Amino acid sequence: MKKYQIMFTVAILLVFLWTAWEALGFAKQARFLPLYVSLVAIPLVIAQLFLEIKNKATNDSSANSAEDFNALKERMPALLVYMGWVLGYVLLIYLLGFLVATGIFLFAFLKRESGMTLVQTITGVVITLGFIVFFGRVLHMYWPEGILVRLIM
Amino acid sequence: MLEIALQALMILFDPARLIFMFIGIAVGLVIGFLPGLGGMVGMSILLPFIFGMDPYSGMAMLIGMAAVIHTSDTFPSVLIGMPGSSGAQATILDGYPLAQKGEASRALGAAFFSSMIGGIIGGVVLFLAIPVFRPLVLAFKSPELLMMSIMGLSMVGILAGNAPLKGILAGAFGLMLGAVGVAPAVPEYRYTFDILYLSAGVPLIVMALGLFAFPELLDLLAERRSIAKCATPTGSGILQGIRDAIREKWLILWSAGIGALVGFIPGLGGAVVNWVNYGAAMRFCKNSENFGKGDIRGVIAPESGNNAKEGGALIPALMFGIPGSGTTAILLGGLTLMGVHAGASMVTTELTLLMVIIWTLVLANIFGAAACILFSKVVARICQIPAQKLVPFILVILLIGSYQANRHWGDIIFFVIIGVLGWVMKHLDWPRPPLIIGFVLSTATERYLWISMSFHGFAWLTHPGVIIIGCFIIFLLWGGIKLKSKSQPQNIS
Repeated sequence: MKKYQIMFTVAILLVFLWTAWEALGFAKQARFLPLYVSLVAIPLVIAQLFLEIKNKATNDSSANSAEDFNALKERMPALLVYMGWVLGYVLLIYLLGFLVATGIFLFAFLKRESGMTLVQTITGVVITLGFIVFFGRVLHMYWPEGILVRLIM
Repeated sequence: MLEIALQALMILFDPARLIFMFIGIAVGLVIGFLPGLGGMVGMSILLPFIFGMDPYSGMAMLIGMAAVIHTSDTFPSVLIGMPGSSGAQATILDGYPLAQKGEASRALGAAFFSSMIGGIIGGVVLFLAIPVFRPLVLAFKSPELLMMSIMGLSMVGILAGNAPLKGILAGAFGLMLGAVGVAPAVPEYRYTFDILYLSAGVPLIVMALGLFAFPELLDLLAERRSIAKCATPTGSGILQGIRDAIREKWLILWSAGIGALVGFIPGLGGAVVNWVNYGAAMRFCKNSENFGKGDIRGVIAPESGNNAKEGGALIPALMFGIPGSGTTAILLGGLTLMGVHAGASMVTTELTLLMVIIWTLVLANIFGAAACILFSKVVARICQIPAQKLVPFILVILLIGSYQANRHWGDIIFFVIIGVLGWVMKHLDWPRPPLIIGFVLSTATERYLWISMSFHGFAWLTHPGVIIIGCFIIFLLWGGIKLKSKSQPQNIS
């Protein structure tokens, strides 16, 4: 866990170094906030990094955080699978448009992951799409169009 | 002022607005009884839907949601010993033992009634604060407003709990994310990577949804969290619980007063309020030896306090523009989306809106508690739904919501990117509320800093108002850290 904490803190440090460097190139009026915030943050991130490295060296950690990390490690495969579902859904939206993608995503997810029966799944999908279309019209909402749909049209 | 209050009530009673308030209440009740989801998630989910609404309807929905979260979060606390939100932790100590004794309905009845009275008292406190703070708000100029923004930013350390340095850094990171896009003082694009989408900055909606809602949903799925062990309460004990609460009326009033006061201090949220109230009740109530073993007073005190906190928390947020928590930060963003700015205008031109907010707070607490009492059996059954069946529908809503920010593909892409960042921060113990506070205050801080420096140079630091607020910030930080350390559960038990 500590290794990842240090890595994240280093990433934050790099971000602040970069924002400070970039801010030097801005006009005076635009430079004020980003430059000074970055300059204040950089020594603080270094202090945080120092604390984390010190904690790692002295192996100063609570039993709870070790337990949490182990639990997280166990859940990681499931997390990656669900992240895949989310990315797949986004890809489907890009290709087929929001409404069609939502129908396919919900049907597949409810059937495979939620263990719903076919009737329950179809009912859930139809009701959701009905709500989306209804509220979309009432609240004047917009959906992303699919690239394939645009090509065909 | 009473005339405006009545006018505001009429505005709120417009059927179209009542519907939005009830939608907010329904969402708040659902968010409350789902462990892991809190006010910030609820606020993020509703935020995209206020586009195009008038401020009265939008606020009715957002405040309706925020007002009742601490009412329904009692369900999991009492029934399964798991807090529905951070503000319901202390309720477990006596609520869960009561449920194990077969008195779950009594505990729920007492909790809902106390929550309702606490919420109403919170609304009254907010109402009474208007004449007190009005002259102060109107006297503020850019240097004082800058100091108020700094006060909001200074609370990020307290919000970070036992990692104040991480809180400050997360706040600074939020300020930098808020600086993305065109600068307020000069037409210069900053940190945009020449991406057109970023020229207007990252939208608050995408930020809030990604940072708070996405990580919780992912974890709910991965943990395969099912709260199927819920004990369904019987209806018979509810009235007994209400009678218990009425008998402990002074405890309710006292706890609600503490709740509103602690809520007023930015940075101290529901997690602190409920422990402070529980500790105070245990200390000052007679025959307190049964606290922790199923004493109904151990349910009444924290529940009245955490609902009253909402009214207190809205005083600095609405009148001074200081978000004391992630929830109020998103609420302030919502106000901006509807073209209203917190601060002096809330006690002058937008006083009617402030009154609508107060009425919503009061009415939502009444309707929320009534709904919880009436539908407690149904709600107890809903909380048995496993995450796998609920989350896909919420994910669809989140994607719809994030796309409404700019109606651009970037909204969806950045929702996922910020969502991953939020998940990483959550699991590496980096606090997320300071980030959203920094993000929301970024533009105001930069604007007021620039105006103050342009008009006064460094002399703005010598303004009496600036010095007083500076001292107040130091006092608040000291008091906040002290109060937070004292309110830790281990100290109470």
